[in-house]
Amino acid sequence: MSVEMFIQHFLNALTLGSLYGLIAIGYTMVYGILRLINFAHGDIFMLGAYFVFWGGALFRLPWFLSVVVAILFTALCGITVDRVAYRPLREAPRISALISSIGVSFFIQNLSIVTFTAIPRAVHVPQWLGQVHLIGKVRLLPLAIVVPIVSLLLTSGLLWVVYRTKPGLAMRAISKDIETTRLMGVPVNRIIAITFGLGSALAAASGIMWALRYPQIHPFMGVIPGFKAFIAAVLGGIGSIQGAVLGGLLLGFIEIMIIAFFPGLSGYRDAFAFVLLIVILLIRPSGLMGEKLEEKV
Amino acid sequence: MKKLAVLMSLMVILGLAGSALAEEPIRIGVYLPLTGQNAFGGQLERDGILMAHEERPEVLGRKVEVIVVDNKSDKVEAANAVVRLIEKEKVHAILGTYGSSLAMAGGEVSEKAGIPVLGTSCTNPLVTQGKKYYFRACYIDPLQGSAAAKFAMDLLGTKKAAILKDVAQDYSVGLAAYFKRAFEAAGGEVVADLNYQSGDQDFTAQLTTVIAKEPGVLFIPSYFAEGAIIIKQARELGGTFHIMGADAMDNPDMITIGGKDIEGFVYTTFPYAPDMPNMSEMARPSRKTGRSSSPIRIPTPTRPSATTPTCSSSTPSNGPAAPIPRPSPRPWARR
Repeated sequence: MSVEMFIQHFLNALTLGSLYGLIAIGYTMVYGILRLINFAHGDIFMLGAYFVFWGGALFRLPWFLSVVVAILFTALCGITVDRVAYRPLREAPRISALISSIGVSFFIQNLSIVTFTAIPRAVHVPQWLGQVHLIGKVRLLPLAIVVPIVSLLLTSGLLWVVYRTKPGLAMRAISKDIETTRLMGVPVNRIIAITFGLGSALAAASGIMWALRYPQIHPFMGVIPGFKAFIAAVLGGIGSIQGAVLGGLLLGFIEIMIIAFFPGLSGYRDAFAFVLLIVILLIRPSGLMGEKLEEKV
Repeated sequence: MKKLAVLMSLMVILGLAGSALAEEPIRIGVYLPLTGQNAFGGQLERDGILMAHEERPEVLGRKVEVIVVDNKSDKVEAANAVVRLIEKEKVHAILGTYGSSLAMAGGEVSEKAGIPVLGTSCTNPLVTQGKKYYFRACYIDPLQGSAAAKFAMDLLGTKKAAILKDVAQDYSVGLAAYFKRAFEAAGGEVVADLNYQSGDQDFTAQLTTVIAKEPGVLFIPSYFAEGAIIIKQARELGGTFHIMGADAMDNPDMITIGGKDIEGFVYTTFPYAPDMPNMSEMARPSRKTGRSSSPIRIPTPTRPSATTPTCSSSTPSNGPAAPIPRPSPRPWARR
């Protein structure tokens, strides 16, 4: 393999990996605080992409404005989902909320199939993001740089919120003990709503980035990326924000490099990627950056 | 006495049934993927079937009733859909389905029940192989694959091909194999044969590998959801080769999604150009409904075989044709 080709593969992997990481942050954040795996995350991700599409196609908003509006609307959707599907189950066993999230996921998918139809839509990609640059023999899509930078910014922003602000303090308190936190006078439900709002805003951001890289959106677009990102989050140590980014990058690199070095195995890409992940989890059960598991009684 | 009563009531029932039979509508079941991954194709076919029904709502003086059910792009659901059509809806015949894998699953059920099915666009030969009651209104993939291979060799003038196929779809795997067999039999070489899975969105790794092998043509027997994205990524990564697809990419939205990158894309499909000789009245753009049976408006190509290569036997081969020039390289694609 020539050096140029390797660099090309490297850039492809970097873009894919950062996208996985970006989606994984949303999973890991909700899990870290509520111990809930929000399976509807991938579908909220899809809604984010659709909102941007409509902002441009239906309301003729400038691109930047439609991105902002889409993120706000998606956050609102996330808060609604929490209010309707998760909050009534706060006292129920954890498995009930998990099943509820799977239900929400199917509900959003099928509602979208009926209302948006299954016909894939093309997303407008701004010129400065879609133009390919040629450096030597390597083709660089601006997104290959923009996506990792956005991931980095959002990760640090999120870390700042969680570790440096009052709502963040409350979030961390809730993750330790929800009952005691409530007794301390923290408006638990409001803080959890904020958590879902943030998580969904992140889903929207990653949905938009994904739609810019793969400019075709349809109601099922969130299923596979959501699933992969969930695995990335577990790999990095679910609950750890840095871990999610690392897990996403690792998964992206494994997927691309398997095909790069063993083209004959391209049909088994997912199989090999996941075998490798199982091996990593066997060695480090709590993920790469996960905390040591504490037994909660 | 009791026997007589039974006989009498039986005769009454039979009489009723007999008189009802004359006006009883012909019930035709349709099973298509209206939701799920192949919904775009299923929804288009449903529109086509309903349009035909609108134009000819009667056959032999009997009303035709169309019952459409969704097979959700899922093999198990496809079998369930056929069971439902036969057992609950009591249909006389079935139409469907888009997606060869789905047709194979549905065919097992209809075969046992002895209900005839007419396949719409399931081109994999296994759909009807060994079946007494499954028919089809389309060509099969051995024909399509060899036509595509012949087109690549004779008209695109290349001897080096690469294949990128969907391992999760019988249609894609079958068609790729027939293309490969025909292309190699004609003296060509398949330099790369790579895979992906339905639902994948990132093909950069496969395409970077393909580009390094420098094929003359890339054959992608994909469904259109992946097809447009593959073409776009191939051009972004600097692939200057021809790209060929098949009937599952026969969709107007290819251009909406792929934009300028679709330029020069060639595919084999069912012949339906409105100005074709021997075109049935039914397939012509409908006056009554104001809609067109052809989903896509292609400007008439200078070489008619560019959109429908040797699919119909009535098209005579127009001798040794000069190879179609390659798409002009993009400014950023210069080596």
